[in-house]
Amino acid sequence: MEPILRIRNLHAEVEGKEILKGVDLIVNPGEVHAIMGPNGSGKSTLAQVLAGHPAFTVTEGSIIYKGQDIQETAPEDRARDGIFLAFQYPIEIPGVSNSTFLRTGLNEVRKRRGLPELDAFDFVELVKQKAAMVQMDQSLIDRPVNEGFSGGEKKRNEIFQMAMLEPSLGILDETDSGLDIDALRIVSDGVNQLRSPDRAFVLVTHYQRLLTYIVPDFVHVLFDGRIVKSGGKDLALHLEEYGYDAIKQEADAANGVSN
Amino acid sequence: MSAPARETHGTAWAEDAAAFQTGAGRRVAPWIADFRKLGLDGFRELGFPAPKQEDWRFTNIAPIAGARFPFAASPGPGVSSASLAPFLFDSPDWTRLVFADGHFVSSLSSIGEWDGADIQSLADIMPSGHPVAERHIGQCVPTGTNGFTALNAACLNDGVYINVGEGETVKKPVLLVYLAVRDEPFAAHPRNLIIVGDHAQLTVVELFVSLTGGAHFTNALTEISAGRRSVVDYYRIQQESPLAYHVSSVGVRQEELSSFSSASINLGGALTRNNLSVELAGEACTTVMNGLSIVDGDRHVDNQTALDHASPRCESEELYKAIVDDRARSVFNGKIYVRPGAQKTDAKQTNRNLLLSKNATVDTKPQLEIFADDVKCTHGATVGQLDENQLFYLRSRAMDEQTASQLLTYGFANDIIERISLEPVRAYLHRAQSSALHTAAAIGDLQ
Repeated sequence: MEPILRIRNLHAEVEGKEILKGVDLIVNPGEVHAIMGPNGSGKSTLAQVLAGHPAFTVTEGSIIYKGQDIQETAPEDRARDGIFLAFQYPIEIPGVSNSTFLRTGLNEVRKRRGLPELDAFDFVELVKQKAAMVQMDQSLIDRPVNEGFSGGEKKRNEIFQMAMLEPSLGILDETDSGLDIDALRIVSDGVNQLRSPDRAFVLVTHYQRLLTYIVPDFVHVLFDGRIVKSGGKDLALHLEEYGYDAIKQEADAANGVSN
Repeated sequence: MSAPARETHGTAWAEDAAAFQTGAGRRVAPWIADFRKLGLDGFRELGFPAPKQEDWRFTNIAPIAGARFPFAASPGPGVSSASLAPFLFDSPDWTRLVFADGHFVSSLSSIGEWDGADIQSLADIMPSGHPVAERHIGQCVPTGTNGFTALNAACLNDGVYINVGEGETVKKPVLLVYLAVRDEPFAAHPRNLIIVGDHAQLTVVELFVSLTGGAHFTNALTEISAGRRSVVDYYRIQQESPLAYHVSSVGVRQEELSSFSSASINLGGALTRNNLSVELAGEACTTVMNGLSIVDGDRHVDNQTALDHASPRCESEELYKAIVDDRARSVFNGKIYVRPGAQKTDAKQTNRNLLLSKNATVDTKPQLEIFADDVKCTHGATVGQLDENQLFYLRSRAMDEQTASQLLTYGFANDIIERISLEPVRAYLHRAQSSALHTAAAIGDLQ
């Protein structure tokens, strides 16, 4: 089986500062991978680089998505090909309604998949169905994108968008941050409903708490721009109990750094 | 004292105005003749504003002063209900007054039964005495404010008179359409006198459009007197030809507990200068002033607003935006005065500018003068390009860079349009702004 995503020795920098220092990761269809790590380890950078944020430069290594090297692929083409990034801090777009925003994006994705544009009626039906998945208030659909939304509403909106665009690879960047326990459960339920044998997820998270709701197949610890430890879902529990310090020390020891 | 430069003095304009006053036209009552004379005397004294005057520093009106735009003695030929149809907001039931080249055209207008207001063309009340109009004219926009207001009075010919009775609600919006019809250059000086009684409600939409692409000059003036506890919504849409010169002077006086809400949308014109001044004469008024300008090519737009918090406990919120492309220029000057004793004033002013080209220019100047100590006044101005993070967000949702840029630019403008409470006006402006921004129709249609 061909992996959905194969990252090899990925190095990336922003404004001349190297953040990712050789990341290797393989994600197969149907799998959920959690990327954990302390603040500043490069988790969000990895998510942004996968989505193609122009502020980051890949200096070495490769990102192979569905067999294609996407290093030179524009963010919009990655999205059309099925990569979706749920933002840690969803952006507000005053003056553009959520529905205009989504319909424009959705029709681009459908075009790439050889599907006809959705007419207004079918679009509304689809919106109803997908908004229900994350219990999102219908009134938010006609409001400007994320403007005046609460933190929880913004995160729901991200998962709602993911449900609408039906990606092959969903990357969730700190989706749990700023959510209360009820919202976390609702958002997680939404993600779990989207799990399928041909779709994969990469969950970037600082805390284990999200992973009790979205149970991962693999957990990786990112530290100082590298994946220093990988394991099953129990690794997250271990981290929750013992923190990142032990991992840091192991990593430092492996690099020959002495304290 | 040295003589002002000839092009700002406007001698030829004064001669034209004098000829208009003595020329054969409809007979007018003495109060009108006197008012015109006051205007002409004022204009002869003031001339056109000179660039050295602080309020006119960024807008050189020499192209107007130096040109000859003769008074149009009659509506231009060929204007029909078909040519008017696109400008009726798909709302044929609204009261409407249509002016062609500055003249009221009764056959294209529709003033229904008494709907709580006396609504007439100004020309219709000019032949005889009219104590109410006589008392109000020149009050909210003093004739001697500047050369343009004086010239407007000197050339007083037509416009609208609206008087909403105490406690009356005019249910349907009143639409005023000013069509520039003729091809050859001409000037129009429409003047509107709007009096809204205590506890009364009125919505007015002014639309300025050119049916041809020719050069012409509009020197419009609107006075609005808002009585106690009245509610007035005022929308102004300027879509004149890219060769047109447009100057407007709007003056509003609010009595206590009144609410005035305005939107000034500027999509046309080679040179546009809008003066909007609101006097909060009574206590606890609310005022909303929104503005949107879209300029490209070598066009120039200048919005000057003045908000006079003369009484305590008034709230005002002002948001003006401009999208400036090519070599175009946008000017904003927002004055807020808080008079001594106007305690508990709450004033908020924001000016946002989006530059789409490196050769575009924006001048923005907040000007707050506060003479009371227990007040809240905030202001902010931004000038910038499209936001990188917003662009990436849209691209991550499958939109290409061009579509993302267009949608963000559209949204920047639409933020103002969405604040307009009249749905037919919003729908009209969605289309109009798509066309002004050269946005793919698909984006506008989605709204």
